[in-house]
Amino acid sequence: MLRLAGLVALLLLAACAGQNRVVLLANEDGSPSALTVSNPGGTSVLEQPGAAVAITRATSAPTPVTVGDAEIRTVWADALAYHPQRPVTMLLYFILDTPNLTPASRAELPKLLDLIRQRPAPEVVIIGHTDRSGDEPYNNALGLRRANAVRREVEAIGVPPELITVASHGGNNPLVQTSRPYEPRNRRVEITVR
Amino acid sequence: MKLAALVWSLAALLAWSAAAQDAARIGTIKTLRGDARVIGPSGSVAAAIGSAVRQNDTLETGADGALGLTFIDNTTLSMGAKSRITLTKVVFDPDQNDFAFATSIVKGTFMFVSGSIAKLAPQAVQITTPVNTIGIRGTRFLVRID
Repeated sequence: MLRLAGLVALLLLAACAGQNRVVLLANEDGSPSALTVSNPGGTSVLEQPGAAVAITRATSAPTPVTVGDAEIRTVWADALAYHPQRPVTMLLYFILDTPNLTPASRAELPKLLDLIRQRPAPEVVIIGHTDRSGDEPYNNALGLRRANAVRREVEAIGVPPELITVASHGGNNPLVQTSRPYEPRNRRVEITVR
Repeated sequence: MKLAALVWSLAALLAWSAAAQDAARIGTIKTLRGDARVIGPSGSVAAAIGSAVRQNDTLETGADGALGLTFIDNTTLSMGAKSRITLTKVVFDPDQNDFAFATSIVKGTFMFVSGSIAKLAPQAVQITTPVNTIGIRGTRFLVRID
């Protein structure tokens, strides 16, 4: 009797463990996407959208498996349905050597109001960026000045101040990867609504 | 009178936690259905739209639960029913070159869309489950652990 109970428990465990999956999806913007799935048994690299692995236990290597669209829509129905709207980021540029936005960038700002209305518990994050022509403390401070300049404009068009946070990433989060320190495209402010 | 005092102290507590949470907030709950809880140092609290999540919080859904959240680096995560995950460590300080995104899945169904940490410091992302770890490079993916 005891032995039987042990056997049943083992089968249940095996049945459960057999359902562990990791599935790579396509990125929405079409950019390349890849995952590694590892454990002491080995490593699997997923590079094609739709690629999937099963992982039966921590000591056996992940093994490729087919997970069809129907299975995805069933098993992950709630995860898909309740996935939050993706944050939207707006890029803003300044007239050279001034704290004033370019006319094109200023014209973008009113779109914020719609983006905010479309989201539950909206947050507006204003992040100032620089290129790498200054040293780090200088760039961090300059990024913050740029972000605060934009904050004033954003509040002026009616974005509630309590939704806004401001930060500087200095030169450490470049839009364009480049070895030259001067890069006007990296001197920007990003506003993210999420 | 007692009730008024209670309401006042509750209001003060809420105001305090609203002020205190900003520095520690690593994400915000955005979508919600049914039984979903945030388990932190002060116990287990029903999740609400707009709830802050903080480092080391555990998110848990019941049989009818589902929720979705955004993180400070624009990672988005959702989970279906009977799911559980611990948000071990999230640090997003590009100006200090300091990054971490460590979560520990216990069980359930999940969808991740990675954010800025995966882009700027992919090696700082550690998503673990009882049977494996997941390393990512700019990625949308699903996980199921039973």
